[in-house]
Amino acid sequence: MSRLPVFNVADKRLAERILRKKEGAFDEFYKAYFSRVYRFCLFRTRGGDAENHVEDLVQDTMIKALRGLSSYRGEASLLSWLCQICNREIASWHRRNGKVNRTLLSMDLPGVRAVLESRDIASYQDAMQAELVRRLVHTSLECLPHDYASALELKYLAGYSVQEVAGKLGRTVLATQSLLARARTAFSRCYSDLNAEIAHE
Amino acid sequence: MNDAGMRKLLESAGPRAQAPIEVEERVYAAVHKAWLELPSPAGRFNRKRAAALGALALALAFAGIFTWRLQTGAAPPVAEIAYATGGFAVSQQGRGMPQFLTAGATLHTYQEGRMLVRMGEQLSLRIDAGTRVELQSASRVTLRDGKLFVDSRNQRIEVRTPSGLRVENLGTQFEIEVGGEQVRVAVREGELRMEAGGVVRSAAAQDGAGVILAFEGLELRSEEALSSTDGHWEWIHLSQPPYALESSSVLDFLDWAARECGLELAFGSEAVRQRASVVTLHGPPIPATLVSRDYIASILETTASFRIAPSEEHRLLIDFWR
Repeated sequence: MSRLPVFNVADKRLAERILRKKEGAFDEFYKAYFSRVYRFCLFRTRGGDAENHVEDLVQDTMIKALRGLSSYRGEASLLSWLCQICNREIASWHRRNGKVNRTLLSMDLPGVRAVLESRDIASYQDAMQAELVRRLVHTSLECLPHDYASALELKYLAGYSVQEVAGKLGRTVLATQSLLARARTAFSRCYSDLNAEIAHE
Repeated sequence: MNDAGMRKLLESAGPRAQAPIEVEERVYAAVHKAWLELPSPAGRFNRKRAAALGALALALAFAGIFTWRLQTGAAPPVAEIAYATGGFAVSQQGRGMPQFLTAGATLHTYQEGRMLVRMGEQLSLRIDAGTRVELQSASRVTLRDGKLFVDSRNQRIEVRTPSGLRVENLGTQFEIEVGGEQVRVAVREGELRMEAGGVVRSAAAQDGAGVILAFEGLELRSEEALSSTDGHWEWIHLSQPPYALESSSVLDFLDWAARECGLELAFGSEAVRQRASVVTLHGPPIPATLVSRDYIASILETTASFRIAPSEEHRLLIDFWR
């Protein structure tokens, strides 16, 4: 039986360290993925009955991921893998509780179209554009390594100086400058790629 | 993107949602506890060693089978080790390869060691940790000590114990456990015939209602009901490799999952069954320990074609999504 190639080497190594009970591996995993899975779950359940159960869903997702980690072979990123498990947990929750999974709003539905056509389309488009940018920025940040996203948020959203960011991340000023430069480049590339992909779609 | 552009963009999007700190701490405590309870690294090391042994056996298999066929009178294999985890030992005569087992072979699993042994297309044995079993032939084994689960689809097998109990299946799923003079036999599906000291008994499971019998020597001490979905059966998942979901048909997946869960698979119509045989699934391998009715439902949901229809508790009724 041939082995499939491993593409996400860093994630696969982290998984192996967690399974070998290496000191610090669990905390690294939790720090890198808890918030991302939480936000993913929040987004997927927003406005639905499951929204009040996000804590349980995230907890079950992470526990099931750990228990099944020996089957993770690095073909997808750990984040994709966790999101896949989370999706299944959400679907299971809906089934157990007899709830219907929320259907995304579609402009193809006649009722939705009628409502939209009766509104001020210009302001609607502005709102849609703002929402699209928000989603693109947040998705780009989620795709970056945890320390990249943290550095950018501390610098550009919280308004901290480079020295203050360095203090919060426990790095030297020089290392933080380098980290910010790499984070900006990675973010720009990801944001542009996503933008281009949406334009293409 | 310069500093000003970056600031403007991030500010326009606003901050990402954050979990309340108390939620993060509660989830951390629960997940960390689950991590600590994972099997020890030593067990995993043994698994790696077992996997390496399996790979080596596979590599040797072709050369071995060739040699063995050339040897006049060489005993043909009666079983094959399909999966092994943790520590185990195989003892058999001749220059046999560890993966292929000939009549008379003895299998011994140590602490945390588990095995899946196939005896033909329709029958497999799952061997729990701390078990010693002898393969007399392709249709007869002796359980010396420990626990064995037999999964058979119309293939007969007889299991004997040191106390003299003989258990013969009639196409079924059952478990037998030996600890000194005490023997427990549990039926999950189908029917068993047991002979103890000249007394013949039968035990059967129907509609998810199974039975567990306890013997002391050859004396039957108790007989109690045991559901096919009871937690009693959970250990069998540990002797099983993850299910290869990628490119599997829905029908194959359901067949595997239902059998793992002790559920009777049924379809709303022949059209549903036909459709399930041609729709394929994609995804990473699924550890058997994760499979439940809810988990099956969540996999089906990804097809947007199938659902689990309401039915009796022991039945997994599949229908089109309407």
